[in-house]
Amino acid sequence: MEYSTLIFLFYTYVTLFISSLLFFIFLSNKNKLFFYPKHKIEPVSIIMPCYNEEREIGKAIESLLNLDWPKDKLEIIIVDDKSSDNSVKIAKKYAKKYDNIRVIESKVNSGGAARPCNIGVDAAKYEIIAITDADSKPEKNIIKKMIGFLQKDKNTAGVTCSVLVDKPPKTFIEKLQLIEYIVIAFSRKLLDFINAVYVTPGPFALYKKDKIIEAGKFDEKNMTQDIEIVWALRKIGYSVRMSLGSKVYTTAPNKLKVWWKQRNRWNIGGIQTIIKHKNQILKNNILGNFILPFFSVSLFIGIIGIILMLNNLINKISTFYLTEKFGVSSYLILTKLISLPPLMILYFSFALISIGLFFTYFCISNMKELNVGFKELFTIFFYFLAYLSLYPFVILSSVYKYLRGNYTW
Amino acid sequence: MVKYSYDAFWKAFIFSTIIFIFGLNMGSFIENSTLDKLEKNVINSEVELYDSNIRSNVLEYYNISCEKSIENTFEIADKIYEEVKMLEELDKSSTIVEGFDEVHKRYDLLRTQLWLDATNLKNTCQDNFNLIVYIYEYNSKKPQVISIQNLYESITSEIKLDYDSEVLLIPIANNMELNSLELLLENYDIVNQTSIIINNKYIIKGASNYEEIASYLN
Repeated sequence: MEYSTLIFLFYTYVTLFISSLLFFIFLSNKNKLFFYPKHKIEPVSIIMPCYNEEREIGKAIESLLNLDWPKDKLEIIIVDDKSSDNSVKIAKKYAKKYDNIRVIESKVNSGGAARPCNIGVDAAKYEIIAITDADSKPEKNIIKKMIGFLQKDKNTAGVTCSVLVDKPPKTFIEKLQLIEYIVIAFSRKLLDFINAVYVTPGPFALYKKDKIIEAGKFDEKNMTQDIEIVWALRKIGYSVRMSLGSKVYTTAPNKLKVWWKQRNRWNIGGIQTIIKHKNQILKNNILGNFILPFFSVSLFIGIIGIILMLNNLINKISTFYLTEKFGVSSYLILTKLISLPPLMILYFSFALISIGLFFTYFCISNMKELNVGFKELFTIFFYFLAYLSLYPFVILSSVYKYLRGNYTW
Repeated sequence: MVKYSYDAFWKAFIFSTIIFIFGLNMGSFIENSTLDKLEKNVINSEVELYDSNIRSNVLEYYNISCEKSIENTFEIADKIYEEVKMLEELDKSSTIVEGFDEVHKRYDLLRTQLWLDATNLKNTCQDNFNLIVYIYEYNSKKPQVISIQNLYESITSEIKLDYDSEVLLIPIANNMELNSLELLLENYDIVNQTSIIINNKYIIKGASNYEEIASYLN
């Protein structure tokens, strides 16, 4: 058996294991997916890091002002990271009008969200803090559906929610990301039942302030401080939960170039986090036993997969080019190069694609964020077969940028 | 403190392992069935070639018409050609069952024998049929080698199509570690090279075309 076949079989087994894991978690918890604990009213400090968000910040502040939470139990701290546009002007206009809004201006741009978040944590008056992006719109009842998780359990230090694409998606790439965000939210809730939430995305998350300080606050060198903080909290024994029924809508990139840059940042942050917490591997907690190995293996498989795929592709292209130079018909060469022999590997590939498509459809139908008509079926197929295929390329590019130290927010 | 149940890990481990092993067994079963079929084919062809061999010997001692023997050799060669094509459609690198190489090796031995038989027949019967032996590297991963093989394959099959009963086409893989073939190829100065031998006289190596090869035919 060749090494490429062995890698494929390993990949097949990992995919089967993860799919089965999610399936069994779902079976045991299907009635608790949208459950959230009862809450008590207590004051919350909302921190909004901001950098050049003049187009969205007004709407984001409005959505916070509309939250279904007593106004006297809410403070909003906008931390500007030296924006060069009108963001501060807009924020100050709101601060003038509402007593519970404060604006803090940084003297220098930090180049990331971590420092503004930390400034916000230091400035927050209350024990429960929320972090939200300046281009996000949380649903009215978001705090009500999330805060109970923190109040019910002393050991819970953070809560995340369903992050969805701002409705309605206008471009095809936004629609693909809507599907992606739905699948991520649903899978993350399933992981919550085994205490394996590994990120509290920036659009909206609640934390206990003292636990954040105990974990060393947000890592200012990390490109994804929202992943790193969860790993840091888990390292010192705290857990992080997920409230599937709480929704926040965020602006998704509407151009491939912006999407590429964002995904590179996520992956570079992921690599930084893995390296920072590498000594936790196989330690007797969910971080060491599952989250860290799972992340590392995904990265490894992605890189190996793309190297094998590129090697195969380059070989086929050069064979095609060289054969064509001899005057052999292109059709003949293509039929030889693109052949699907009836082998086990092929059956396994079909099985994996079917599992993936079914899981995507299953997540969408459970979340009820998208009506699945004929057009959406095409989008789901495209999402699964083309959009997800871009991921290994993103991983490769991120690893390259990380190794060269060539990355900025 | 919230209590978590980690039963799903065990269930998933057992379930995915069972499905995976079942899948592997199903895969092996399917590949073994294909291999069985190919092995039956190679045995049949071996028997037929052996039969043809005896017929050639009979030919030497008794004055029997060559026509039947030549026709028979063409039939076997064409049959083997189709069977090997089927075998090579399976990409060896993606199989989990071992044994496809062995079948290929047996076919190459058979084709070497066929080459010798055809040469004998040509001499004994003084017949004018053309013998094209195409030497190639089985399962090559090198684009340069694959491209020249694609070229030779395309030319030889076109010639076979155009000349049909006048051309006996025998492709043989040269990388199956067959001593007899290596010895034979040494006579033609061919060492691990893709090449075409026409009527045991003309040797083509490197780029060529239909017209050039056709010009060497009787």
